Amino acid sequence: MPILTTQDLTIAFGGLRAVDQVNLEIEKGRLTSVIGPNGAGKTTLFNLLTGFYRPTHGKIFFDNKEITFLPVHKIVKLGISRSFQILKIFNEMTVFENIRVAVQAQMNHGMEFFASCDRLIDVRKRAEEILEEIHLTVKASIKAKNLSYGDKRILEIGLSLAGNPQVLLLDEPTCGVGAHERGRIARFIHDLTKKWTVLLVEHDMDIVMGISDRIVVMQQGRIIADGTPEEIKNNETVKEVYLGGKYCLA
Amino acid sequence: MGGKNSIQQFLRLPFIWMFLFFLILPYLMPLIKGYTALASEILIYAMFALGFNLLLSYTGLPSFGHAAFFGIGAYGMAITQLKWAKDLWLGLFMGMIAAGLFAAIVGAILCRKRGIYFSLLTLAFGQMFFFIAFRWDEVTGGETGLTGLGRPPLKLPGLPAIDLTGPMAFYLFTLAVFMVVMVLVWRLVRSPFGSVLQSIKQNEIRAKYLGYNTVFYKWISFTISGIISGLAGAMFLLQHGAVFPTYLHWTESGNVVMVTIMGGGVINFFGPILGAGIFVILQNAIGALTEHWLFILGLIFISIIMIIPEGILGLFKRAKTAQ
Repeated sequence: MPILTTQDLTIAFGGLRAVDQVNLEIEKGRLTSVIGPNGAGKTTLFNLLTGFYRPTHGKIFFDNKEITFLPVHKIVKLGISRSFQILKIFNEMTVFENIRVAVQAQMNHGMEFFASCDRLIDVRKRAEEILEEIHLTVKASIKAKNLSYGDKRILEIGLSLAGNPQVLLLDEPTCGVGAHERGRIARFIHDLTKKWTVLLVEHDMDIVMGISDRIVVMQQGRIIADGTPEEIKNNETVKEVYLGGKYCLA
Repeated sequence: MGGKNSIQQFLRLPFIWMFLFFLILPYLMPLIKGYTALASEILIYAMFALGFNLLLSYTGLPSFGHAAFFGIGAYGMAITQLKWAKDLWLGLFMGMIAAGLFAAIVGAILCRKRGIYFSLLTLAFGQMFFFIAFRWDEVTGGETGLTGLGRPPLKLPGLPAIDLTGPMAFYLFTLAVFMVVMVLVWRLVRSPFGSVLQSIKQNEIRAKYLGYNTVFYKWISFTISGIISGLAGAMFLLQHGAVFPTYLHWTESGNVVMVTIMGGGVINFFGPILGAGIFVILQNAIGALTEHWLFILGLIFISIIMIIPEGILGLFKRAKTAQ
């Protein structure tokens, strides 16, 4: 059963079709990776799926409901969440406060004007659970800006998890992370698939090949291949556009 | 929680000490050649700056047109007195409603804008309101403003009416209003709503992706800020008994930015209050010596920002970090 579907999804910026007639079905409970050279339209696809951009053409369905022109915050509330390639965490808040404000959104406590944040016991409990899940409990009271880069990356994903989404879009979660921390983040992402449907954009081919159930290859806004890691590795078109370039399929 | 414990907690609240300080402030004013009415002006200005700072430091929206809401509050109070009834509560209420209404309209248009576009548009709207006040003779009195307005007595249920015409009576009333505003803003910025504003300030796109309708939150914050500014304006009318279009002028909007930043509002809740105190006192002291007091005040402001960009309360933060 696909949980997230696109029909002829297209967006044009002037003459450039950044995403061009993409038909995609994301299966529930699986990890699907989207790969492709820079400028292939991967991040634009994420921006379309989450309502950040409005498509020029085409439709998006989530859980059999059309979400094409819904604003970001409504799509998030329905259950699609994302992380960003460029960190978007709340630097001046502690790790705990970061997660708390995220949980608060899901529990609809944002419009309480004179209560104290500390009094929202249900929010606090849930925030503590998430901190456990992302292994940042011991760092709960550290300001986000003072975390190590790897931990910031984990917090970035943690913020996306806090809304308890059904589908999680991860945009290059290992971007800028040193080699020694990549394994940790890869394992972390792999663990996520036990609970969540994950759509992953990633340049590290070891990670993509190692943890994906399915790989979608994009080039110039179009899907040029779609299959299991094994199939993609042996796909002639992919080899042509991809292998000759800067990436190497292990 | 034991009784003693809660008393200790109570005393730890900074605004208890602030209240005590402001109770004796009128008696300290003569030391700096001030007077009681000047103390009232500090509190009124502090109220305005607290309202402004809700937007600047707690939502991340630098408004350069906030004097408009201050002025609209003053006009709201004045027009209520002239056309409707000389009633204190009604006047204050109408001042707040008028400012809140205009803030809600302007906010609805501007809250989608970001950064410099937001700031420039607030400046433009502020000047628009200034010119309306300047030209609309029938309602605002045009260039000459509305003058000769009194201070209606304070009526509280079950008590005889209290005369506010004396400076001390008015000061104490101002202090009461100020305390209510300060405690409410204090609670607001620490509430779940306040934490959303903080998240918007720090990263609006992420806040959106947490599921917050950030434009709506900014609009609410803008409106509340306008209401507080309007209340300050209405109090300012009571203080001076007159309102002029210059209250809405962009230079006044600039003053509240200066007051807030100079005191340290960006890093400390109480910054705007300190800034207001310094501004009003310097204005009085330098103004007595030279007509060009704004020039000197400007120099002082520039020096402070060059040395301590976070504002005066930034010094304490530095001292703390150094320990």
